[in-house]
Amino acid sequence: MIRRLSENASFLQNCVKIQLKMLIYTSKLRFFAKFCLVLKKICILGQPPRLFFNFFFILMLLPVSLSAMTTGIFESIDQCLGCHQQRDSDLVKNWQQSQHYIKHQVGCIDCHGTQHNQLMTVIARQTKTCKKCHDDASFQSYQRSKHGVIAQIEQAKWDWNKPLKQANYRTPTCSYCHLHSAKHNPELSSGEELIPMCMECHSPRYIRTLLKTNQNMLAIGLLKQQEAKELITKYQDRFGEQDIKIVGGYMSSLAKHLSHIRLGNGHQSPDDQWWYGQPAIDGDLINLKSYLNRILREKRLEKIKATRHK
Amino acid sequence: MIRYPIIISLLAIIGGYFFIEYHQQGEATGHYSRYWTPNAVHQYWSPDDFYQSTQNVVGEFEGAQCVTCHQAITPGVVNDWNNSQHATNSRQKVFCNDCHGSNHQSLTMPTPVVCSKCHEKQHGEFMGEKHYGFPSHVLAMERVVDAKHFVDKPKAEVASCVQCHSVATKCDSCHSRHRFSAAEARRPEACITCHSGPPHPDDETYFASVHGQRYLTEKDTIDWSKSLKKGNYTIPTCAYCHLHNGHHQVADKTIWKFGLHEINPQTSLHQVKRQKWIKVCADCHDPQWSKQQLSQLDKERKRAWSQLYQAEDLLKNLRRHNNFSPNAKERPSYPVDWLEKILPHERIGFLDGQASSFYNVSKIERQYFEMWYFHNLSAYKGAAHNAPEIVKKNHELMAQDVKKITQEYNILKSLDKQEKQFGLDRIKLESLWKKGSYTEFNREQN
Repeated sequence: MIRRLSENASFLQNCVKIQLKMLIYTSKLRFFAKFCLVLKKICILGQPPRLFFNFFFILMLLPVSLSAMTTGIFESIDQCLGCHQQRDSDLVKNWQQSQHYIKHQVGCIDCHGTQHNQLMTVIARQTKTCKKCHDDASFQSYQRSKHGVIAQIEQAKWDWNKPLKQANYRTPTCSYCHLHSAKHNPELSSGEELIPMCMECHSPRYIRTLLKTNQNMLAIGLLKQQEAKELITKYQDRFGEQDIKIVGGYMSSLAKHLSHIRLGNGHQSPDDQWWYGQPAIDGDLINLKSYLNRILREKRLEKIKATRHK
Repeated sequence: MIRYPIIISLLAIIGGYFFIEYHQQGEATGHYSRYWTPNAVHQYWSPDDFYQSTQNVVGEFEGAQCVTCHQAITPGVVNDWNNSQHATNSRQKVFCNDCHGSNHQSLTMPTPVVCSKCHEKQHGEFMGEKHYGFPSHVLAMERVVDAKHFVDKPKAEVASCVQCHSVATKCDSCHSRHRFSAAEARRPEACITCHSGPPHPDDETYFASVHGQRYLTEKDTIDWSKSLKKGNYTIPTCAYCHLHNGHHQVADKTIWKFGLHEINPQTSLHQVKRQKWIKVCADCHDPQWSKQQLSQLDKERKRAWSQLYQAEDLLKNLRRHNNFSPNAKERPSYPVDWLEKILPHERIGFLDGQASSFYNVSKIERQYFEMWYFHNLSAYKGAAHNAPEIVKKNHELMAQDVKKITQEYNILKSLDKQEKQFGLDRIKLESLWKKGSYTEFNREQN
């Protein structure tokens, strides 16, 4: 009994702390909150009546903190973490393991906006938010896919307050798959991790078959790259400085087209898999082979010219 | 003496018939059905030919029973169906088993024939498109499996081809499942999953046109539940013009056939199609004006083809003098093409089968392929959808292509000339063209 009470007490204490911290970060009520915090510290100095004081504080602060929630402006990650580190520790941990945080320091306000209100989840879930940074081949491949097309047509009418799970949206959006069930690390949802999400709408066999085909499709692309690499290793002793540059150009173009296959597979965009993918790589391979063909013919001619000259 | 030619041709016709019949009866489909094995995913895109039901669930299920289970298993499907006409129609609900069958061990994937049980008119129109030949929706699947490069390449590589060409074998390419909404298919976005990319940038050209620009600004104010009839829309969309009055045919007005080959725009058949176009445009425009626009398109095509023929002539010259490096004998041939093995030749021009010559060819041929298939077709789409900037850009690109092809032509000619001068044989580079991880894999896996 005593243990349960003390557990409750520490839980309530946390609630109070969070509410107060939230208030501290909202400009209007900062001084009031600081005053409460000091008051709270004085009050809980005496051990036994902790529970009572916590209840008292929660009741007192509830209306104030609720009103603060809708009006607050938060402009730095530290401010957000002040509350959410404790409240949503898993979520924050997810985010801290993501490339968003590690590589690009993309934080809460970049997706949720600075206004702390009901709309902040709605904003973060929409595809246009991701587009702010990802307006590149990856976004276009999604836009061209059937999922993306349906989203373009219908998203204006969707209720974005629904959580990102259980097929709550007619088609998957960026956030639906990559931040599924409010996971805050997009890398957690890629490749095979996505299968359960696909199965919310598609049959397991269809998804496995499609995934296998896509893996093979990529493997074929990689095989083409390997063929190019083999050729370069074979003939590189004949390359001049200029040749290395030109061949390097073909290889980087090939790598770019390979990434289109990856994106096309992930977003199921046939256009990326095919027109920007496989035949484009075929073109790179032809350019490379023809260039090597030409070098070899020229070298043979040079050699014979040199012997004749002697 | 006239007897013999008659007998020989009769025998050839009968023999030819059985030859084709024999080749169509393989494991796969099409004229080359004995040469390739379908990828597992093809069963979903060409269900009539390849779909096999799962065996995991035993029993017969009907109506609400399916919905009860699938609400938990695949909620997305059920949500969609709940919002579809199939579920909300007060006269008669269309349940899962009406299209997929009741026995869970012999389920079917619905094809246009299944939809035709109720949507007979639309299906009839859709099938009627066959008369207009390819490019068309209804012949899309037949044409993809008969393409040499499709048969030749590993099936996982060309899986994406089947996804778009499945427009012939299932209705949900445009009316996406399980909502099957007509309003959705009326929106231009519904077409862009397939109608995008370098050979057919319909999305890019339409959205760049005045029609497309107006669509982008006004799309949210339009009532998409209205039929595609005169007076219902202020802006033409893909469906408004190409499926005018909801007529399920896109090929009935095609004059230039994607710009794939040069045609005579003045034949009587094309005059009829031209009148059809003018009638569609007449919903908003003066017929005289529309006529003029179409003749502008004729002119654009003429300019494009004059450039293409310039390049084609250079390539044919190289072929005549055996200047290609490698030539057709020195590179892998299509395994399916027995004629190619007896009489190897480089494919130049549409009728020669150039559509397949984007791999295993020399650089100059690929350059011509890109000029013809990417820049020429893009220019055509730009002209047809009235996007002058795109026409201009692609004509410039074609001019650059001609320059590049001429440059490559000169290199090939000069190398050949020098080699002859020094009495050298043709260089043998089998390891460069016929060997390699992918090239060998391709030979074995088609």
